[in-house]
Amino acid sequence: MGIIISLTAFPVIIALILLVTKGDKTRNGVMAFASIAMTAASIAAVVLYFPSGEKFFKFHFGFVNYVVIGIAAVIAIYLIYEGLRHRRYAAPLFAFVQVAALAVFELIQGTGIKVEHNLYVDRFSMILMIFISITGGLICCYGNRYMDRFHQKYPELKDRRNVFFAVIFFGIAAMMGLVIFNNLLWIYLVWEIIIVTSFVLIGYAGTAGALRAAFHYLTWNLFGGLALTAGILILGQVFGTLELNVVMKIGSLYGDMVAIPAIFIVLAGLILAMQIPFSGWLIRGEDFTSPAIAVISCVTSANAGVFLILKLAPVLGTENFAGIMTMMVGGITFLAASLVAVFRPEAAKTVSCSTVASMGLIVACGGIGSAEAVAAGILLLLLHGVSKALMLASAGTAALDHEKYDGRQDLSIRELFTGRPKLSACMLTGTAALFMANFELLIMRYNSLSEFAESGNILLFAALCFGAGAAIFYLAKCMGQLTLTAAEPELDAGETSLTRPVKLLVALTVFLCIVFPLISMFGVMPYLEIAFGGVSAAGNLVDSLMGLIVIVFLVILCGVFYGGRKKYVLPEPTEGVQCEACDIRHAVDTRIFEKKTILIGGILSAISIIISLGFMIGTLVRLLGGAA
Amino acid sequence: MSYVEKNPWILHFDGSGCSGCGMEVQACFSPKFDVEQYGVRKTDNPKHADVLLITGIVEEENRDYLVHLYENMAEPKAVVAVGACACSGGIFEGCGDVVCGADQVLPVDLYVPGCAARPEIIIDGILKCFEKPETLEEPVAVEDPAKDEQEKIEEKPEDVTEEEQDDEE
Amino acid sequence: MIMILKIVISAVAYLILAPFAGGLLTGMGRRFSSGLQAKRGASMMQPFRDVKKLREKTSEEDRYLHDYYVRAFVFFEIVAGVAFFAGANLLFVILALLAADVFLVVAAYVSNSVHAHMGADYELMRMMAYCPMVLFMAAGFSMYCGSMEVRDIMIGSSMPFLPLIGIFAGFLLIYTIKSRTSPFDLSFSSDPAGKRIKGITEAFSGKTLAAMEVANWYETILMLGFVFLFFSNGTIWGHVVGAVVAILVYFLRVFINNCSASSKWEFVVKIAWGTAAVLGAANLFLLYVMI
Repeated sequence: MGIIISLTAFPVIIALILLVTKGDKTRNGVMAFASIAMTAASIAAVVLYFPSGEKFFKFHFGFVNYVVIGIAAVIAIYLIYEGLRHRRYAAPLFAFVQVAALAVFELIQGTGIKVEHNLYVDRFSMILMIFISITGGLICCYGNRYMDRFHQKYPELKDRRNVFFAVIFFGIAAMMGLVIFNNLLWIYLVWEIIIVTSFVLIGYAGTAGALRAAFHYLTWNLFGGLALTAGILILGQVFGTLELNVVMKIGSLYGDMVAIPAIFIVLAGLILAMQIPFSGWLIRGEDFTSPAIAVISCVTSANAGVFLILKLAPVLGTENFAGIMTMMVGGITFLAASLVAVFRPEAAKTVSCSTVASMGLIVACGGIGSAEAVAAGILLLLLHGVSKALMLASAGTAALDHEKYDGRQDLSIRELFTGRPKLSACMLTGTAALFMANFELLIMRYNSLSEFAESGNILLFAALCFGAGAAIFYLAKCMGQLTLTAAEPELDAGETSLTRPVKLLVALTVFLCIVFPLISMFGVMPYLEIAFGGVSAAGNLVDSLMGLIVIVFLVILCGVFYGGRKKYVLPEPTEGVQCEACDIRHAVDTRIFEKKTILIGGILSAISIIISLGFMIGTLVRLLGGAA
Repeated sequence: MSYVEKNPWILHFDGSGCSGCGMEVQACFSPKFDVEQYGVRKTDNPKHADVLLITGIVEEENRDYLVHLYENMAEPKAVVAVGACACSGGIFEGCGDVVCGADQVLPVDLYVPGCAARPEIIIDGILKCFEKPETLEEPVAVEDPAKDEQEKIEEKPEDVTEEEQDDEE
Repeated sequence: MIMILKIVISAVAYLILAPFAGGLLTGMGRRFSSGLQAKRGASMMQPFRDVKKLREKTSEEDRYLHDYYVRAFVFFEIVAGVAFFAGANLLFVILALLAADVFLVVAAYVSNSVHAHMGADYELMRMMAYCPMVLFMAAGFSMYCGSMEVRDIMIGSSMPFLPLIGIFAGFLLIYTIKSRTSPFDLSFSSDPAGKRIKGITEAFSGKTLAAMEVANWYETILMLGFVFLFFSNGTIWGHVVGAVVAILVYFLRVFINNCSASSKWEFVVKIAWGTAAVLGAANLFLLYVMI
């Protein structure tokens, strides 16, 4: 148990150390040490607990709950202060309401509720622990060098690097906590920590655009926090439990009833996982630093939301309004984000839209609630995390060195990567891995695809198919342009120190692509057996086949550029007309299209959510009426 | 003969001028003459083409493009100059900017005379342009219907004058 | 054991016979379209002569990157076809087809020509257009025949044609789009007297072009195999009807090619997605209700 606790406590200590560390090399050393130690600890945990599958821990201390509420209150006060300081009032209101409600609940009712096990570890958690340690560590390594150059380039921005990295490690600690905590109150605390850390990361630059995006994120997620609070309150009040695994047990018996609090928790997860009505801040794309976004989308925030939804997947399903809401929002997100990415040639938009789209896909898998779908979702989560981190790292490096980069993200991929063939090859690997992950999990997991269709949810199936078409467009276009820039001669070597962590990420991506069938066979399938009580046997063969397909595709596409010796050349470019002018997407007014798509997608998602909430109220009334 | 020689794909370069020969080349693809039955195809891309068919005048303005097109074609390739203007400048010989004949610019393999050249001869030229000169048969005078007409017109006035002389006498 | 033998035999048969069948069909199609234009047209063996001719062209000394990617395209096309005829999962076939198209697009980008980039954009538009319908088709087969494996669908008990008729109509549209013929020939005009610029093949020459032509033959047979699948019901009658309809569909496509002008990409995407949404989704919904 010590290992498990230390996985949460250790990053906190590291964060506090980082707050006071001065000097790049020290910081680098500390972060490298931390990441290696955490990876080692996660692997130790795997070795200890994997065979048994799941483990409960008690970890009782009388006053821990009060400490938890206390920390939550402190964070809320900080958020209220920040909100008032920048004259945004919704966020502080939400923060105040939820923490007050929880505090009142805990003080009055909480002592009455008996919590058996505060910690719970299963194979899914352990896989995620290793994933977070490694990916988080690599992103921090990249981030350190990035922030160095970033501040050299923009000396007018306040250098708060200590806070930046400390905050990242707080976020990592919170994520570790999320995957091991069983007590929903504690989950609420780490939720808040994740929101706060992401808020600080997004708004790091301090410019107007960054703050606007940060507060957009904060407001929506505090609204999600309200939903989470409501869910916790209902669970505590009506069902008399605060433990996640008990919720799952009740869910397998009384599916419909548990859907009532589940829908709130899932709503909070949807908001955190950047689904369409709530992800405007990302798609608008203003003034971010690349490691910040990498952390948010690959390690903490998005993964947190998706983790909760996948964890609750056995409770969701197609008969269930919570499940339907999740499915629909996920599918609509996938379709809308992919369509926006089709018509926006800028590199940053492509990457951020692909993040939102992938999250939508994972969420839809979670909403379907079957074992195969959840397997697909988990694997997509892992593959997306590393490949997106790689893409963001390469793109960030290229952007930072680019003369035209002025913080506004409107360079196309071709412009961004011209003359940087090695970085293009890295980004190409990432994009190819993401493409294969999306497509083969969408397509090859034929069980889930046919289930989508047979479930009668034609709307979701249609959304996924059309979204797949759009996704193929922008991903293939991205890959094409990257192959071109990767084959061109090198114009500008750039900072070699920045490309080293990128290369490590490439190694990680390729390694994960090779290894994921094994992860699926030995980690995910057994988890699903416990969570769902049995899974179809066809899974294993499909997994090995999928692994082979991914590797073959990657090698054929990108292998040319890693050979070293240049065997192939490019023909001479045609003179005269520039490529960008011939881009047919200039025929459509892309800004209006983007706005319309996001608007329509948002409206459709909102309608799904409202309808599901309506069903929930109906069920609630029926239950109360029946009970009375 | 190789397959390239039997099924050439044409890149039709129509220089300036009256574009009569250009239209005759178009007519080759019409149902009446149908050069397609020999497997000949028209393409716009020099990299796909085997035969560069030049009609019309080659001038100072378009000679560089012509050379560029020729260089982009892949071996084995041939150049056919169709029509009097492409062969030697035609009736525009001596005008400013006119390059007298495509062979001043490119190595021409086969000349197809005529103003405008007839589709039958053009088709013949396309199909024979890869042959070595030694293997070509002796050029046979083509029955030119217009020439016969001309002879008949020239004959008639003589008959009339003889008759007039007879009448007068 | 017999199963494995059957699979191997069908795969090898496809690998060897499909180019001949595809080339012959292409030749007959060209003859047919010439006949429609009152011409005599090239002989039926012309496509083979064309490919031999292209292979005679010497490529430039440098080895171009796009040649490599075109070879990858051909490889994935063949994989898709072999998988289909060996009875594999429909979705695997679709994934291989999509991957092949991606490689074609990448090859077009790498050929470093503006026209090729435009052609690649148009090809991407086409991929975006046909992807949903093809997935609907797979779902339709799965719902009606209970499985997505080709070998299970082939021995199914009743002809999937009538219950899947909406999807069949949509698939015909997709076939026209995928084969890059009018009215959807945005990036690839194969009219012999055409004056349009062939987009994606802009920088390809000689052996690469020959490889693309052969890959097109493989793909034609694969697409007609999909049509065949709509009619297979395990009996010899089903197979005969399927083969006949497949060949008729091919000539229908040639006929449409002759009769229509090219259209803009907006039109292509709208019509393909519209058909998928209306015909495909309605068909799936009806299937769900029926089953």
